[in-house]
Amino acid sequence: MSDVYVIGIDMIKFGRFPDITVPKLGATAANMALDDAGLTIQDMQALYSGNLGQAAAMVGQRILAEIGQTGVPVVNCANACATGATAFREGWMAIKAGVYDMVLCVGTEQMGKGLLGGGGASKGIPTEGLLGSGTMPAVFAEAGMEHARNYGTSFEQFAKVSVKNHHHSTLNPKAMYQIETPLETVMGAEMIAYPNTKLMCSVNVDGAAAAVICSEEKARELGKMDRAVKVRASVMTSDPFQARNMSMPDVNTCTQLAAKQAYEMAGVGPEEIDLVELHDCFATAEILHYGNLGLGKPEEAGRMIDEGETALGGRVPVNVSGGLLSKGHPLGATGIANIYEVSTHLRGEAGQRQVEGARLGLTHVIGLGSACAIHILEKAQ
Amino acid sequence: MSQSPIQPTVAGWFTDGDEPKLIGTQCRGCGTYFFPKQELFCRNPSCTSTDFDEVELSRTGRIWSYTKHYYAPPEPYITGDEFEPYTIAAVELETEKMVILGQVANGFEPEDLHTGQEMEVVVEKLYEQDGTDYTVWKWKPRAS
Ligand SMILES: [Zn+2]
Repeated sequence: MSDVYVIGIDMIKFGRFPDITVPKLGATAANMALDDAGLTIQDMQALYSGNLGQAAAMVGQRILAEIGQTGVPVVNCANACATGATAFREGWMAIKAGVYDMVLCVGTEQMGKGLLGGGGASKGIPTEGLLGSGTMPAVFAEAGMEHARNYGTSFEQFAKVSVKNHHHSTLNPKAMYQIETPLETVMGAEMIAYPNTKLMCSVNVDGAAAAVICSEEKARELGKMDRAVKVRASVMTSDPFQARNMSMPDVNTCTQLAAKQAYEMAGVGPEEIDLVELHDCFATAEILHYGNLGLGKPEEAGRMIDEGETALGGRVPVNVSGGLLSKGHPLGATGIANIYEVSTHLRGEAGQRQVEGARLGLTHVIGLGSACAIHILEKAQ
Repeated sequence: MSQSPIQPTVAGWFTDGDEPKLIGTQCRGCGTYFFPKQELFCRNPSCTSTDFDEVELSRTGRIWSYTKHYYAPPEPYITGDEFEPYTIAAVELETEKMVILGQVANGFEPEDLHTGQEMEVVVEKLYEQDGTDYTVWKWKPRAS
């Protein structure tokens, strides 16, 4: 089976674009990724499109209607917050299987304002929607409270995640926000579900990201290896059966499972990872995922944020893009946007926020319900 | 046709009376408890049973985690004229050891709660619509 390489990848600046249609957002990102690869839609053998809000509306085909209807197969994917990563992974599998040697993957979302899970049943998982106890802010707040109880993690430490990611986004021109949020501002913001204040919740934005991926042979034939990024692992999991969690969403186990499989597939350990883009849908989630992804022991998570280990310049920078908290979280685009971020560092093209000497990076998304996807990426040699 | 002024928000999920209980199912094959009810096939991948008994679940449990929810949930949640923040808890049932989410009974704040605290099921009004009170189960700290 051929290794798979990213040879073109890009994203639009995340923001609010109520007057632009979903296919036009996707088309813009798709053309940016094709330009980045120096190729055209004529070179693509299939399109994998991720979008959640219009899951039944053939978004992929409508993207082709904007950029060129070549008649290639189109697969439309919806998988909660893992939608974009799922589209990418479907493309990866097609190349792995040898069916195609070069495909386009696009993730797109138009969110409008509000909080995650705030857009009605089509945009999130309507867990006990009528009863008000299973909302995403509640689930991630309670998971944070459990971490606090088990390991002594404080409100202030959770809040520092948001301070860090907002700081990172000041260095990312494609992030929704480029503003510093001091600790007292984060802690003093409107409470959403303790311990997460409004500034500790991901930002609903519109966005799109796209990637051109191909086989190793194709990348070499086209002379694209200098800027290519190798996909060392692509893994997806769903919730395993646990008698304890029949109705309580479990935000940890499927990530732990996916991480274990991804490190095995890549043949690397977490200590070799140079940067991570993980699913900080809420500040508490980032703290949980340090342990879930093996970046440190769960009880070390509070210390890791205190000592700047996960900040730019630290031992393992996390969410240097600004993360979902500040770059923004357009559900269907997020999975490819975080692959864009890691790829940009591996290519040494991240400018002011460059993680120096980055060779291996990991991306992680989790959609409640649950779908967890992890990719491990490496600078091509 | 006259409608009863009190209705459960979701029919068949809990009993009423002085000592209300949640209604779940138990798999005859592997013994797993389910809430909400599992009735067709078993979720346990190593169990092929299709037989389930409807059971009343233990009406007490201990707090696994809790928070206060200040953000109005999206539809279908019905907020009434003005959204009022509410406390919620995830409670591990005494016997079944399954974690069940729920709002906390009116009048209790996070300061009144701690993990491991014993809670019991009560039924309270969730919202009012067209002159009918719709009820839901809630978790209430057990008087000791
Ligand atoms: Zn069973």
